Amino acid sequence: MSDILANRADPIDLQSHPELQPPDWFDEEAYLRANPDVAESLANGEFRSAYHHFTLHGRDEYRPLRPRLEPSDTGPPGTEPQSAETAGAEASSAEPADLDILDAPPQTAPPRPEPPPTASPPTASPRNEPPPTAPRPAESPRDAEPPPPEWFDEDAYLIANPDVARSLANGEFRSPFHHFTLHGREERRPLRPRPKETLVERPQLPEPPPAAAPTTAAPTTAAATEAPAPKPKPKVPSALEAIILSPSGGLFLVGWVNDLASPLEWIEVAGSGWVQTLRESNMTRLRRTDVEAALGAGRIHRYGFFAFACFPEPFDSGGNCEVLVHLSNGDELEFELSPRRVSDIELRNIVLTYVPGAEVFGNREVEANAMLRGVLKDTIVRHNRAITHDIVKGAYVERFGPRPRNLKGSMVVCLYGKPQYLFLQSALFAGGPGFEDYETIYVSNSPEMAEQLLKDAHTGAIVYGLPQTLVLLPGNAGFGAANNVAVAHASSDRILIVNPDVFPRDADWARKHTQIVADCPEAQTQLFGAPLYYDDGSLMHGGMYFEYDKCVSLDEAQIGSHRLVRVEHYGKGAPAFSNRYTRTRPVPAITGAFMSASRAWYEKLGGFTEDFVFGHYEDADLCLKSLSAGVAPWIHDLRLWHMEGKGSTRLAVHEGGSHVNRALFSERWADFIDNGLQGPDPSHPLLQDPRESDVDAPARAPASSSRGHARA
Amino acid sequence: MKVLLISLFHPELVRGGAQQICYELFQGLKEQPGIEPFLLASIDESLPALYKSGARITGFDGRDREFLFLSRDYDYWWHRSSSAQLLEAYAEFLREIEPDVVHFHHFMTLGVDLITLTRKVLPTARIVFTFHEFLAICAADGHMVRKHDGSLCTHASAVRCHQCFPKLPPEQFFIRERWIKKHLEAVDVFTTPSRFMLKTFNDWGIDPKRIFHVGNAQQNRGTSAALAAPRSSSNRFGFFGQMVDAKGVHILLRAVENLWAQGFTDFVVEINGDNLRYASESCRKEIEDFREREAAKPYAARNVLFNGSYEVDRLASRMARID
Repeated sequence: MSDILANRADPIDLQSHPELQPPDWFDEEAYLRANPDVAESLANGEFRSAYHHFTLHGRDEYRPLRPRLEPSDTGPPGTEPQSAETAGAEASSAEPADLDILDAPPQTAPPRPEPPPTASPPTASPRNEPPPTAPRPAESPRDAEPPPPEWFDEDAYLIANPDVARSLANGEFRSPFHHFTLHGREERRPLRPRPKETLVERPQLPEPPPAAAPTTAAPTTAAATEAPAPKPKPKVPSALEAIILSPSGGLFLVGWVNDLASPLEWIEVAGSGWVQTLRESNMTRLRRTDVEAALGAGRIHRYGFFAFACFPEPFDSGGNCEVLVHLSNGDELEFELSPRRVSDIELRNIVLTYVPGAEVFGNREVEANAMLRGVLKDTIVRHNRAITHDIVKGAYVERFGPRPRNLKGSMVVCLYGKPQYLFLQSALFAGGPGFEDYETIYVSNSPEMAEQLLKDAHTGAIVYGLPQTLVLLPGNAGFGAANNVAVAHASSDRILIVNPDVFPRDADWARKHTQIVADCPEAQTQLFGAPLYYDDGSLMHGGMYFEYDKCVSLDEAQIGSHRLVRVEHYGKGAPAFSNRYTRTRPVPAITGAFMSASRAWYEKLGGFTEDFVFGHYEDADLCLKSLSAGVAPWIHDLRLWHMEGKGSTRLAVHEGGSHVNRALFSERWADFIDNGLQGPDPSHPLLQDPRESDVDAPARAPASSSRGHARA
Repeated sequence: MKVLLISLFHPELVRGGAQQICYELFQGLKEQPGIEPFLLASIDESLPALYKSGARITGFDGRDREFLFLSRDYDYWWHRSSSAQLLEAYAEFLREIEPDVVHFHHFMTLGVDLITLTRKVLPTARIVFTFHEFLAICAADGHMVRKHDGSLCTHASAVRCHQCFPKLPPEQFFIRERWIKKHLEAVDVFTTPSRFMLKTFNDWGIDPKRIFHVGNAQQNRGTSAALAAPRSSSNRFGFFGQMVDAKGVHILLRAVENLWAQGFTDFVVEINGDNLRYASESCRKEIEDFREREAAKPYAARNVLFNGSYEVDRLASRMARID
């Protein structure tokens, strides 16, 4: 038949070609009213009849069979709408209205199909939102439910519109056809899932950038190789490069879009039985030099985007994902991807590696911090806390050596990546005067070290006879949480937080420490630190103070100003003979490489804050918590070595954690630091040494400082 | 008085100077009235047949008062074993023997922390340590030869040691020094076989009041082999020692090749020694390739003869053939 219809010719004799006879349900006049261009083409002789056009093009192009209805004209489901345009048209429950259909159904009333299975509750999705004109309430007397016509495939309708399935499960509609008659018709909802093949005479779309616009982040590259070919070409140059899902409800996606003309507004991700919507607040925009080059873009614009969201409940049920990128002008870009499924920990690590590696327009650290403001940082922190919570629940504890009584202190050491520090510290601390009154508690954030640590703790007990506790965690819970877990197993009232790369410089440091705790006023010993020295003999730490870095980030519309807190060490690199920074005095903060605290005070402060990711800033945070509670940290003259930075392994993911932590710390404490805590000579009343009436005391001098992170 | 001598390897199993000196001291002490010596010699996994299942310290070949320390889980950087059972066995061995003097001739394959454990188990015993090389100071096999340019090293420091091991930070050597010195604190008396070594260890920080020069004592085996009559040409050269990198056998072979290149073949070099398996891979390959090429020649055409290892009492006769 197609060869007959395809040829433009004189009007054909329909009697001779019954197959060209339009069926009863096809109203040629209504079709032509609904498609004026077809009427014009028909008048030009391009088609033999309206039905001729419908069979060649109209069916595939979802052309309406009748003019669009007004909402007020929508009568009871199954009845013909009462618009003026359709007045007089036959109304029949078996007759299709002006809707997109693929095939005309026969005129028989089908039995009512079974309702679909209960779908998951609807999420916040624009598709669940009512259309601009308010729908009628579902319980209206006019909404008596008719049986759906035979041509209406309820299952296909629900597959094509998963949000309708959820609404149905919620009781918002009586049936799929009920939704269709109330909203689906006006919203031009598909009756069936869209066909995969490209339609005939589709408008030509702009070519996407050549060479599949290379990505810059490792996870997108890996995921991009897994993704199937995208669906019909979007009208706007764009790409969705990766979707990564985690079991607890984590979602991370990466892509780019040329939304210069019409900004990206929201993204909807749908899987089997679920839809998640990512609003602008979930998304982070970033630079993509590969896209800039492909598009020949000359202006500053963040074509790239990524989104990281953690939904309260698990939602993934397997299978591919369909993604709709919605632009402000109403354009919708469709993609279908096979998501990469990873653990919650791996998802966190992917995000933390992606952020510092992202391309930016300005200073990388500043822009990374700008990215982390607000929702993204909070999401990472929340996701990480859930991971930490699970890890600490799985702690394994074993004790070695004797259990002495009347301990003067519990030395807590957090290990990560380098097991040798357990036996090195055991050897170098053992036998020191006074250390026989101390226990050691090693907590490991590296499960792969567990066996070696157990061996070394056992041999250490044999050789040195120290009371030692080993806490093994099944993952990296971070510095704060790991130390908190370890402290819970301490047997004394005095907690010493010590880095694994700290060793005694004063052989009798333990005896001195015990003496200080016993003899000094309580205010000076609730929380105190010590001078620490590099292996080259110079001073590494004589206390810490706070400075600000004022930074600017580049936005398209403006230059944003930010303030980041920087932690500095007093006397970093100073000669060993200098006592300016080693004398006993109150200080704004002390390093977590060596902290001595009353256990009661430590617990009152809530221990280390567990919001920080991996490590960095927990020590300064604890000190500021102490200051805000009325107790200043002090420095007392106990001298130890600190092989700064050599005690643990640092990976790329930790860089991302440091960015998060600095942003978090700055957000929480910048205003508090404003009140007399900034700089090496802070004016805060708690930091004025009550003993400083000694005329021989050296005048305070500016401390040496360095830019960037300064953490022990 | 009971004296426990602790040796790196047993000379019967692995030839070497330190173990030979230790063993001869053991044999000499046997002859001294009032002295009851014991020997504890380490072995490593290169002698698997001597490891008995579940045992950590065993006897040796039916020999009276000679024992083997079956080293395992040994860390060759930090010089310690992580086998708790081995340490427990050693502590029990000490309690069983109850030596009055424990004389260490090495810590490699044993563990430097064995010294601290010895002090803990025997608080009143005298602990003696003899340095046979500079392993306590130098992580480069104890030779104090700089790895990056082959020059002699005059003194150790965190940065200088880092220069020999660029991949390791200076802090690593800072800690290593403290780790080893911590355990050496348990030693009552140190000895060195040369005055040069004495000065080097003094400079390193060993208390001069606690370290003495004591030359290596060996049994006088006399010269039972008659010396050959002097010859008109002195062209018979000999090497006696371990065939490892530091002894320079491969340098000697390169010298031979230089002579061949000049057309000179009227000489003989006799290589006497063993332990090629402890040479570095490149050095071992060089020696083995040379040996293979030389062995392919008719015997009369060979200039270099590999005589294998030797017992100490055969040394004189072998040396008698050398000019």
